[in-house]
Amino acid sequence: MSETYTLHCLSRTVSPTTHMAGSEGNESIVAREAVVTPRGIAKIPFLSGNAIRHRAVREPGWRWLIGEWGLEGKLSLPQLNFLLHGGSLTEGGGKENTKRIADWHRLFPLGKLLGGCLPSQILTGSVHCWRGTLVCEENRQALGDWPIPDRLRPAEEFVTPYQYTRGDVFKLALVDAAAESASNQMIFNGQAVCRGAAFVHGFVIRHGSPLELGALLWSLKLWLAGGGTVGGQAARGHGRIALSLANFAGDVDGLCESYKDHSRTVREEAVAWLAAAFATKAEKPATPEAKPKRGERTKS
Amino acid sequence: MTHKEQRAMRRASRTAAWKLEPLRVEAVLASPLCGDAPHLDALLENAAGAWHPPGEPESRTDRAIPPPPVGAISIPLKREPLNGWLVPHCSSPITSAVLADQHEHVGKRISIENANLLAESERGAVNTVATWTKSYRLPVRVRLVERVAWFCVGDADDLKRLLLRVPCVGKKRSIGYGRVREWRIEPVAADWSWYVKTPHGQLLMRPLPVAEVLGLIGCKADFAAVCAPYWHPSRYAEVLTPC
Repeated sequence: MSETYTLHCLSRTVSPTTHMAGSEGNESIVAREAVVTPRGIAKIPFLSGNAIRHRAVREPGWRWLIGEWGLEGKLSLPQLNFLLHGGSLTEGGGKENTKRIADWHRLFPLGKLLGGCLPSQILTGSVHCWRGTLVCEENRQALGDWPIPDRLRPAEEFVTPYQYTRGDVFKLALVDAAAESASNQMIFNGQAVCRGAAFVHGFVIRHGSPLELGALLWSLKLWLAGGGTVGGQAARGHGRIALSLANFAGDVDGLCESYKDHSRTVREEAVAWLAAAFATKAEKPATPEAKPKRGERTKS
Repeated sequence: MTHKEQRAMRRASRTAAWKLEPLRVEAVLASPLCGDAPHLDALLENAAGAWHPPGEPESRTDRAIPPPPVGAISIPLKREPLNGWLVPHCSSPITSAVLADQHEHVGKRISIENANLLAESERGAVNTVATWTKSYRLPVRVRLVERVAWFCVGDADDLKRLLLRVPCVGKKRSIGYGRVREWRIEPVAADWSWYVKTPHGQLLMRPLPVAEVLGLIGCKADFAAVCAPYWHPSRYAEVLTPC
């Protein structure tokens, strides 16, 4: 029996978060969305659903399965594209293989959750990842049912600048430090959402099963265990997130274990499914030997 | 009686009990709307089809596959034959004032940092400017609207039941656009699903398979669909659409 699951999440930024959307002059700027406020429209920082979906669910979830099923160093490029990026329709559609879809749903709860695109077939997903809404005064109305304190800070108080320098280490090594008085370091800067800000977001699994819920929870766990970052500049420590589930009454560990057990049980079948779905077309039979030209001798 | 027959009977009894009345259906949005809002009958057919009741055709389809026969998926809306088409009594979507109209981007690139996952024979130069491995950063139109409304003639209870299965509307729903905070259904004084009487004439409210403009205002001749799935070529006909 399918069911619709809704997870409400509160994500606190543990380090400056640089979820960018272009630049203004030399400064990188954070992604902002238009929000209705009593004083008019304001542009408020947010986390895109696409970023959360990829960084928090798809990448950790599939990377774990690839490792668990021993597929590291064995994938083809189309398979990698399918698992980690959703795939591409390269051979045209027009045919729906229902057995393949049914097997996909049975063998890959994470796949049923995220969907994907085989070379000749689109597989729909069932999870909706909400956008991360900054907990601030401008978003008071959008926060809906969340318990909101009487006083919230305005969004701009959470936006802070950052600045780093970078230089060419090879040039540095060649230059005599005493002779070269001017630094060749280049400054780059931008905006970030500061540490301590909070975003509310969520996941909805439509017509799902406990296995899919387990796949989602396990992916989130893996993401958090691996540093849990969103946005850019993670290498410099940016974008670390501490996620907590709100009002979730289910047994998180039990659901994760069920999913892990299922994934280990179906390993052989799942690997075979993946190989069959991306099997290259059989080569055409070799053309018969060309007719001998006039005057040419034939083998007898 | 088989399980399938029991379901069909239950459905028939529910359909017979429908109380069809003029309604206004409203979606209160919690996130920006991406692309355009859908037609209400398409939304309902999708919600009914995704559930897959036995004996009821699936609404999910492909451009190359024939769509379900017109009216085969039962939805709690009045439908009326018009010039060979079974046209539902629901208006085109009407959005509240657009408070911000902008574009955002959806991007993709092959994660070269995962090259170690590839088989030895698969490792090599990847073309990131063409073919299916091309990186992209596609702009999507995003509008900040607070509500989307439709006028229809339907059964309020069954509409509510079906619409509760619709958590979001528009494009790119899986990444948080067009999230519905609340569905509101309320009765209205008259049927405004096809036309609305105005001092200047009858205002067209949805695409209709009518070849001639008969005292209608706010419309133009077009070649488009009048029932779900609206994107399917086999549904296209000479119509008048609101403009």
